Amino acid sequence: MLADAPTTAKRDRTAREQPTLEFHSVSRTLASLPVLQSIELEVECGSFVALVGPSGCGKTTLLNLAAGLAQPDEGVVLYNGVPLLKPNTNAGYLTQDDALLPWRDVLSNIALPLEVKKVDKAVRTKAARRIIQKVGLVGFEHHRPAQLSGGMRKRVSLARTLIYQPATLLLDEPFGALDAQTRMLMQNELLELTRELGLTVLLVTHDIGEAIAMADRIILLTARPARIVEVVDVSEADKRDIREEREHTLFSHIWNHLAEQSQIRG
Amino acid sequence: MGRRNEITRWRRKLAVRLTQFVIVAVLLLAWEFSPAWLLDDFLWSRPSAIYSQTLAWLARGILVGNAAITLECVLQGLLFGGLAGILLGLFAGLRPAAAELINRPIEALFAVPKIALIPLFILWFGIGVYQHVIFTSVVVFFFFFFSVYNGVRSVPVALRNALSMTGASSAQAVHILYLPASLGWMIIALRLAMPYAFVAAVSTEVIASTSGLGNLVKNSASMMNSAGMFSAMFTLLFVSMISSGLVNVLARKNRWNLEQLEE
Repeated sequence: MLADAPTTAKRDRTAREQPTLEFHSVSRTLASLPVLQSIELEVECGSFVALVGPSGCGKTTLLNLAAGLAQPDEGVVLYNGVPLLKPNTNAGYLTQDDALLPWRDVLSNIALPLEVKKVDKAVRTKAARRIIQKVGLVGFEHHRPAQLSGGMRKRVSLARTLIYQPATLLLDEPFGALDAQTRMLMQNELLELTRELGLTVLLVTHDIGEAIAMADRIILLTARPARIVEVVDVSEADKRDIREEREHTLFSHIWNHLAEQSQIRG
Repeated sequence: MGRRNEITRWRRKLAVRLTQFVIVAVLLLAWEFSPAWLLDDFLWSRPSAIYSQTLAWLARGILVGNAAITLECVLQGLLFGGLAGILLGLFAGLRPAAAELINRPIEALFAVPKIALIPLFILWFGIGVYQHVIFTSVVVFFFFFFSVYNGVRSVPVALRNALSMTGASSAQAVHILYLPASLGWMIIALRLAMPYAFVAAVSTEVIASTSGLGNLVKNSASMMNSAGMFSAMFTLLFVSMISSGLVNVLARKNRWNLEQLEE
């Protein structure tokens, strides 16, 4: 016990200093087209970072590297200080595509990661039911993805990501395919969830409002090949401006009406 | 509104069936009562003679016995050929290097008229049941190989990535994602392969065999028993129609599978 104490303390200190995700002079070329060019990036534990850049600039490639689904041609990507050589199972990856298995119902889609980990069926069903409650899908356990709306499918895929309790979320324009109303609902819920669970988030978006409303830090990328041009810290005042624009206007009046109407969710 | 549509649909269906029945009845009557100078009895037989031959053979268990032998050959061919096609299709679909290596040769073999292989198969495997089953397996193999290969290749990248992120092993990926995703394709393969399996089984039986419906057709023909030949052929028609019908029912039940993957 006593011998263990200093090591634990040391590990704690390194954990605090160690950025969750690091990119060191990362370059990537796809089909002889340079996509990323010497990217230097650090994402601290518990922070919410948004990447904003013109479409087709390589944001998705960057996230794929962070997910360990691809490898950089040059440089190195570290997760908790360890190079990522295979899919990053500590991270949840949410894309514009829901990526749900069409032949499975909501419950077994959500329980999938636990099934892969060979968790006992009763246990994983219980865990799935708990998370279904959290994302507001009670009553839809046995629906197939095709029977759900876009917003609900997004919830299912979020629930499937959260069920294995990842420390990090990688979001690739996750709400891009949703209507404005559902998108805002989902943004708020996601923000609450990430705070509650203390998640580290790397969000890719081209919606500036979304970036400001959600992130603590925004990284601006150039057109392809993507380089980082500017890192902006988002203040509470900036967030308030975005919120208030929504609150003071006719926009918010209609928004509230819609929010009331959609108690059943997107 | 919906109900009226339903009724119109049923009426149309009934009209189609009735017309088909009338056409068949007219043809059968014309066949039965045609003058000898038009349809020679000896070569063409007559529906009444075919009917009594069928009854006689049914009573002696000849038709059912031979049909069972042919059907067994078809089912075993579908089983072994299907299994080989599915496994190799999965392998090629999952390993691009393997696909590059084996796709061309398989496409080339697919283009070979398989019937030309029967003499070779007889040399290799004799004229017994092995040769029939192996030949049928070879014929249906291609349908399963190509459809499972395409099924695996058409799995969206997003689904593959989502599964990778959970840390699934290759075996788990096959079980959870690739096999279910290819199920619709396999059923299409089964639909296409079923009639070809009958063609294959009967072809080998006609060329060299001691039993089966193909054997019955050939023996009847060589004994100038045209009624027996037609009786065996109609039995074949009946058995293959029932089999294809069953596969179609299966396919309809699984239609959602393919449609939703494409979405």
